[in-house]
Amino acid sequence: MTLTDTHKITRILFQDFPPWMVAVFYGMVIVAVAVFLWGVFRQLRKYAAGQRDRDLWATARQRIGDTIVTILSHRAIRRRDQAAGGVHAMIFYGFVLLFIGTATITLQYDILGPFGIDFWYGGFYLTFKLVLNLAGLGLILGLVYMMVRRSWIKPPKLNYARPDRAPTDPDYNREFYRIEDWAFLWTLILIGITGFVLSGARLIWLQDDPTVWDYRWWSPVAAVLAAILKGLGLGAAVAVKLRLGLWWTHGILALTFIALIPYTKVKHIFTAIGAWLVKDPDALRRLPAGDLDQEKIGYTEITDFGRRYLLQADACTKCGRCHEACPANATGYPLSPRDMILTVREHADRQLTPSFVGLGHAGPISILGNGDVQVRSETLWACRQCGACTEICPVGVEHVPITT
Amino acid sequence: MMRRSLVESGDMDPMLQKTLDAVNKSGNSFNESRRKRPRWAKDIGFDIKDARKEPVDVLWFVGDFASFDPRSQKVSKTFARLLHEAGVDFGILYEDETTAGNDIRRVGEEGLFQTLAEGNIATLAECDFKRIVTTDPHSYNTLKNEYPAFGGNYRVDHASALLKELIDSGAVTLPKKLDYKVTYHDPCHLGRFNKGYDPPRAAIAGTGVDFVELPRSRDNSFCCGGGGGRVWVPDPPGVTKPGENRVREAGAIAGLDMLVVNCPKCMTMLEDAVKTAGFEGKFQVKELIELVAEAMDLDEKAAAAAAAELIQEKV
Repeated sequence: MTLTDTHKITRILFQDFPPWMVAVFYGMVIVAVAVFLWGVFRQLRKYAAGQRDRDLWATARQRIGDTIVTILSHRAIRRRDQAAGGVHAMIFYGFVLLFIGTATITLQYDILGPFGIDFWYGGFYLTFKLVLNLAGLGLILGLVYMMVRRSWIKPPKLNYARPDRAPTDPDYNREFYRIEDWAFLWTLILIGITGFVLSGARLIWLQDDPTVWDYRWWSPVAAVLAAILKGLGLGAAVAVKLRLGLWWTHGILALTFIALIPYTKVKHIFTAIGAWLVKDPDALRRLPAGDLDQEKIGYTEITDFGRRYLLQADACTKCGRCHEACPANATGYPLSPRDMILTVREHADRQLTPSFVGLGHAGPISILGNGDVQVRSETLWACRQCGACTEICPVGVEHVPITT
Repeated sequence: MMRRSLVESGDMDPMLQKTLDAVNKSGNSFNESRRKRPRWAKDIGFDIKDARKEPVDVLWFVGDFASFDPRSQKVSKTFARLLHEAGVDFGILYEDETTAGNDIRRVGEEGLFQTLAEGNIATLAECDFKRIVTTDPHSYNTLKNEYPAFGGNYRVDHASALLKELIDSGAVTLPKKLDYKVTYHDPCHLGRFNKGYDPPRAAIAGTGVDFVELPRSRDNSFCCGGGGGRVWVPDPPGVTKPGENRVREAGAIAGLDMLVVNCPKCMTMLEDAVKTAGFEGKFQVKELIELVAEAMDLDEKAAAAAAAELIQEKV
């Protein structure tokens, strides 16, 4: 091909879409963002119901720096589980790059494009494609490993059976978390897979356009898929339909994923970062001073908890490192730091986040007790304050002061 | 801060309640009279300075277990003789020391903790010293990290850090090379809490022993089971104690002679676990201080000094 205007080497967004389809898509984006924001608001309102924490500004700079280094290096997640930590880095960086990619397209198409500023074409566009293809591949391979880990490797720390409940108790193994884990993995991997197949179908559909076809190897994964689909006899006429169907599947899955972030474990994207930001570096060695002039100094209701502890409870991803490190759990005592933190979280959710259906609750109940979503006294007394849980937690949960 | 509520409502093991009452009454968890606190220091061949009355370089905060527990009293005597031999200018608070309160606070008895802290801070304010040293990582932790919030700002070192310092400076020499296979148990309050992983290892290395790490060491150390007040509450029968889990880990090291501990509470818990888990006679639990004292030939030196004194008296 000779001297093609490099402006033509790009991807035309919503190519051949009737205007109503584009309008429907934007409508869905607005709904998804609204659902997301409502969820964020609910969570923030929940944390605000806790007690105001000590002044965090004094050490803000140090903590921000520490958080950035910890997240970028993944040093906390790698500890005592190099494999899971390394694979999490693949998923994390894949996701971050794909997010930056989507944001770049928004910048081009919705923000700068209307002013006549174009940059998403030619060499930049091709490099962009290559990077995002590799990011998507990393994401999918990482997710496949996590699926294998959950179904075949089965590390004991991922078993949700609780030492603080009897097998006959209804909340013994928290089955809903297992369902959520798998829904998370499947949604994300399907977003990745549909994205690639969609990309391959587009190549076949536009195979006669040299500005697309001749540059297909800049998106190597899509090009390989296109070669396979062509080999299987997929022609341009069918590919255009496949592309449209997959476009919507991919789009709806991605928007659903975004909308549900604050309602599911996906929220750890934000809560884990937040928990690191507010983490007390001295949490183990110095317990917070109780004000003896107050009516009470201990926690009985969820609103007695410090705000940062409520945030930390939401950051837990059930990775099980604390569960594995805890000497009480290891020797059969009714305590798992993981399960105690999850109980605090579930208690906070029940008490402080009204559902869509019914607002309010039947008045505050104690966090301490033998009932559902309560922490038992035998659980708290099993703790030996060894700090193994707080020390290893990759998201900065401070189990020790919460317990004491 | 949930245990603080349990303490407020009295929802706790009766043994724990008894201990808290004892601390409240007598300032120590052994329910002993205050006068008995310095009794361990009587027959060591010299008088330990009274830090309340004269200035000292090192104020040794002894702590409850090191003062009253018979096994740890032996360690305290050894440490006193070691410091004496090394020429360290040190003293203790005698009857006026009360428990530092680390574990009282960790039980959740915040009010009692604050009373203890304020009491000790007032006592220490009357003394002239350069730094505090303690063999108990629990006391070390609270004196170093929790007392400042109540106005007590001191340089605080754990005994193992001082040992390393004395070895490095030549004040303590280790002429006797020990021929044991040993491993080391990191105390939670020294290791994970305060990152004191290396000084005890350096001191062990100086004794010439064959050192093997436990599989779970340093930040991944496995608790002896005695923290958070559990040293005062018996583990229920039929349940494995954390200490037993730990000594099995040590017992899996072929040819092990000694499990070296660095905390009076670990000593109590692990020595007990060695008995209940059936490792008695297979390996011993020893304090780091005892290991170093052996390599110093402290017993020989003490005997020689005593003999010299005797000769002088006769002359």
